[in-house]
Amino acid sequence: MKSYIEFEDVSFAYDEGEDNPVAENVIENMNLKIEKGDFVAVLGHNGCGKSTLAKLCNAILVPQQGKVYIDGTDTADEDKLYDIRQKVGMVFQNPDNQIVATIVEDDVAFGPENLGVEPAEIRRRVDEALKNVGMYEFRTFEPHKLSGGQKQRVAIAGIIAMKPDCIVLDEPTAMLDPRGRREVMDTVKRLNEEYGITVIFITHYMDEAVKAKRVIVMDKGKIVLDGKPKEVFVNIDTLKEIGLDVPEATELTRMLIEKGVNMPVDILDVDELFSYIIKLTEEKN
Amino acid sequence: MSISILETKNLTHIYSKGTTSQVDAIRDVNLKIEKGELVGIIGHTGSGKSTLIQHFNGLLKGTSGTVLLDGKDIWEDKSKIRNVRFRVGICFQYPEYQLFEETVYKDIAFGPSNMKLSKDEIDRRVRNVIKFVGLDESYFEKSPFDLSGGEKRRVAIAGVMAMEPDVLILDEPCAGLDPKGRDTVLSLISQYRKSTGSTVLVVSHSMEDISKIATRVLVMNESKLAYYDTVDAVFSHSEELKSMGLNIPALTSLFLRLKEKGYNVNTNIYTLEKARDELLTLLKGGKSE
Repeated sequence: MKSYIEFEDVSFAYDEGEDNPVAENVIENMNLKIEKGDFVAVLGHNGCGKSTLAKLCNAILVPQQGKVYIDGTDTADEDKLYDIRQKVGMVFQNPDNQIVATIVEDDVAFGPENLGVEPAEIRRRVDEALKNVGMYEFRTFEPHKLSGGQKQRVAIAGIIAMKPDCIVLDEPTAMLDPRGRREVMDTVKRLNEEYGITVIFITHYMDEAVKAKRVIVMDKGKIVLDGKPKEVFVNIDTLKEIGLDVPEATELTRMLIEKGVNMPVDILDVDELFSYIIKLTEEKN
Repeated sequence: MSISILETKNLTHIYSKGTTSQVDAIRDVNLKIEKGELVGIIGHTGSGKSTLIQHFNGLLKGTSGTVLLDGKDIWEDKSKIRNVRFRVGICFQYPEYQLFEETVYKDIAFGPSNMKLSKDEIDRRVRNVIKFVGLDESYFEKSPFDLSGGEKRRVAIAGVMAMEPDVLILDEPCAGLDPKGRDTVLSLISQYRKSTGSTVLVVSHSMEDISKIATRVLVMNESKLAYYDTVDAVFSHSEELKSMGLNIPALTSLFLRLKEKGYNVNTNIYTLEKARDELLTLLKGGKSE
């Protein structure tokens, strides 16, 4: 039995061209299994291959070497392209590039219409999808009048109206303000927890990655760290070496341990650190 | 008393005045920015930050009120407004979308060329600023479109710096960059201010970034100036900032919560080293040796 998403010895290089004189592998012999219902954050600096990984997950790209299977289907099988695209939806960084219609609900209906869904069913799905992302009351708005976070949630609604098993989000919060980031993250988390949608969430933000169930760190086309957030973020030196941030609470914890304070290494956020400091001072008194 | 480099008096801007879609974008802003400061500008989306900065170089004209540059009303002589734009340079969000020339050199030289400077002077400036942004002369003949995202961003910023403005304004200079790119841009901004003595204004959503580089923080909320004060003073208003939809730096919030619980700690903490020392003092139950 295969995992929901499976990469088998996958390598990928973009075609040689003027901008890319040497076709180097952007993904290098990658093996990866993602189970249904998981919430995976993918971290890595620009150019590490994360976006390529995302595009391999729904057959926008097909590997030159190795195989990618989605729900048991080989992504290289062109006859199954529509099935794969329906199963795995993608959300990109810039919300303005993903909205095609002039009214929010038309935009959400675009996907299911193209799948040939019955009109009554489309109506039902659009309403449900907009409610799921908290944008139902904006259904008759013009998209350009929405904030970045709201537009991104409309883009997500457009994807879930196609009833995918999995959503891949490629830095969906990079262009948003803090409130917009929170809105998108909360929405995605809820879709995962309440509807069991598998999520692959590509980001630069550590505070978002710590909320995932599993974190994958990539560098030069390879997976360098893979595990629960607590297992991944204790590798402070590796993360820094490849130019990534470490949660401040984790780094501060290590600095305290180095000074002889007795505390666990895997503290990930300020809440946890706060509770632990309180505990330490109370023990002392 | 010395004259502030930038001052606003009762500055108000109303969009679509007299129509049903009338919006007060900024209301009654009174502000004095001193020469050489590095001001962090924060505020929720729609708070009026962008509208405010566009008044500083006359891209927008207030519905009422005045903007003074070096003590002089920038709209005193309308025909001189172009000079104001040379003296107050704005680098907008995602400035790399505005690169257009064939080579990096020409792109950086575009701003100063419009100032009718001599060829030698333009050349001096271009060679000078490429260093400020952490690149070198080997980039001059490259097409800006062949550079990485972070490099493009830096070339675009260099183009504004090359005008040698008295006031440099950067709108979200780190948006969309990865952590390494962000750290590079932040340190080059600090470096630029230190070595040129210019006044720099940085709009950002990241409280961590602001707390690390700014000398003062300006907070906009619902079209009004909420605070303009030192970093410590502004971030001590944690509840008020939260109600404005803003965060405070994560480390600072830890110490504010400890203080709230009755612990005797300092709350003006923005760096890991200071946080560590403050916690060690607390855990040892007194002054550290």
